[in-house]
Amino acid sequence: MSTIEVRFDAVLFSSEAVTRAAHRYTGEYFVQVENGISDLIVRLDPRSDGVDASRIAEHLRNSALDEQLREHVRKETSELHAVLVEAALRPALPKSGQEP
Amino acid sequence: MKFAARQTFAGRAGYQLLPLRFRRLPWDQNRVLVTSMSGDWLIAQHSDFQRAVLGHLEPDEPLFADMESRFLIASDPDRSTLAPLLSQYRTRKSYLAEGPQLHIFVVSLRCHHTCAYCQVSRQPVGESAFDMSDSTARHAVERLFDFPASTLTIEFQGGEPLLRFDRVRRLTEMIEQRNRSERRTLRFVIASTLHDLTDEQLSFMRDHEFELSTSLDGPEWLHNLNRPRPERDSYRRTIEGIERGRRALGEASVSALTTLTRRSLDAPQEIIEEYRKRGLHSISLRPLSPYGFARKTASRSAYTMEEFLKFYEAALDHLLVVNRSGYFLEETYGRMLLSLLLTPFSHGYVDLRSPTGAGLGALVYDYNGQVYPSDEARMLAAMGDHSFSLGRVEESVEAWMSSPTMQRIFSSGVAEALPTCADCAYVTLCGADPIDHYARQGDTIGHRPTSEFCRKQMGLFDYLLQRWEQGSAADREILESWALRATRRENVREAA
Repeated sequence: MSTIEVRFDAVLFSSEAVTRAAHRYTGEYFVQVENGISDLIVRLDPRSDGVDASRIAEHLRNSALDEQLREHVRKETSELHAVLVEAALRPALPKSGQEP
Repeated sequence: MKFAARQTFAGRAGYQLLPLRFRRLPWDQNRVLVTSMSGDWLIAQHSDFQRAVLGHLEPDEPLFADMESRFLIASDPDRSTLAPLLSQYRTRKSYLAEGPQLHIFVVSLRCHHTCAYCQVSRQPVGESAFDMSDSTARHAVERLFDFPASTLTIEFQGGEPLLRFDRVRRLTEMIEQRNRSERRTLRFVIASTLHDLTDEQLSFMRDHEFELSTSLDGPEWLHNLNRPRPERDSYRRTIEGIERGRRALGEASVSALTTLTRRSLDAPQEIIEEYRKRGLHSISLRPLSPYGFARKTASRSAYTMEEFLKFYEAALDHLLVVNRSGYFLEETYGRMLLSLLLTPFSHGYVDLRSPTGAGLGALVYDYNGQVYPSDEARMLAAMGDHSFSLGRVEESVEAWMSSPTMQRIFSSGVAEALPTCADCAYVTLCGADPIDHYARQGDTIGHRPTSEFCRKQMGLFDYLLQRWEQGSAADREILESWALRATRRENVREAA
């Protein structure tokens, strides 16, 4: 089967978002991610003949959009997330002066 | 008098995004499941959700209120608090406060069955070298009470534990004796074929409020094929054992589970009808594990996770038919996943915990004095791979918990920190299973796009959610009744 190539505009998509999206397809495809001049290129080679690759480019584009959205959420909430988890689980820590 | 304008009561404009995860619905790619850090969730149009993430949601939109009430966004900080979110998160992780509650005592590896899918590397009936010794039993009881859990579930396993019922009896007496000063809540479970149960054994079990867990693989032809004995009467003996156990201990004290072989996959309705015919009200549909004899016979009995999921869908369809007819019959794993989806509670099932239940929720005391963080770790050791042995019963629990083995489990045992899981909308409801990933993929962290564990979890969560969302009012009510029942019972890990 032939290689499927999908290009992403590097202004709209970060390399992290595209790499994360591509990673989701590593079960069924050999995946290569490359930095082009103004775009990011993902190449997918099906691991076997049984892989249904008919709509893989559309799926990958959707995944990249979602990863870009997740990146936005992470940027806005990761610090708060860590603070909230720590605050929620603080009662599980031994009180100061007590042996664990 | 006139009411003041709405703006009079409005807080500061805008909102803060809170930690959240999302997933496009497989049955409708234009909608997403959005979950909060504590596992509350909603379903929204992808385009609306995208606007919400990018800060474009208006306060008078219904989605705004929905997201705010589920702690996906927070509006004016002077008028809102995140304290309930912390409380919800603690509730989801409440099992952390107790430490290991499930303690499995392997009293003997001997068994009279020769099941091709056996996960525990059984030994022939005459091989008494594979029985737990007095010294091991004494030390294991000491260690049991070194853990702080207020409720201790003691599960006797084998091989066939009834072949060493004297050891079961002695261990029970030792544990109860010690508990006179400890005052914990004790639960005794025996995982057995229930063949050759004697009146004396049943009387002892009744006195000590035992629960019985057995295997019933389906109708006679299937059960006898899966679980052969030389006499070819495994089914008859199991049914007799179930009926005698229920008469002696009460109906609710006997449960059964089904291990699914390739042959089972063609018979979802027959298997379920067998459970109804026997008056059972729960069934556990369990796929094969990659351990013990199951691995050796994989070419004959194995199947893909996709085949299992297809079977599960057919089985669930039939379970709903049975329930709609007025007979209550629940699938136990589905019940646990639904309770996670539809209630704010966790149930502490050891395979669905993050941090992992291995060593933190359960411990296994093997017949030979070795200690393992899970049954799967013991099975690996029986196959010659001792990677997950914590040490021996003579050693301290501090030594086990600070061992390199536990450090390795900790480092890959928090699902929220694992690649791909970290972004999964189901992660708060799911678990980390480093030992299963090691067994299947050779790595405790594992590779999610090819993970059978992940495929099973995602497949079941998706299907149950879809059935709940798109099913009839009657189906929805049935699935909700399973979820609510799960919150009213304490967890016992179903065993072979």
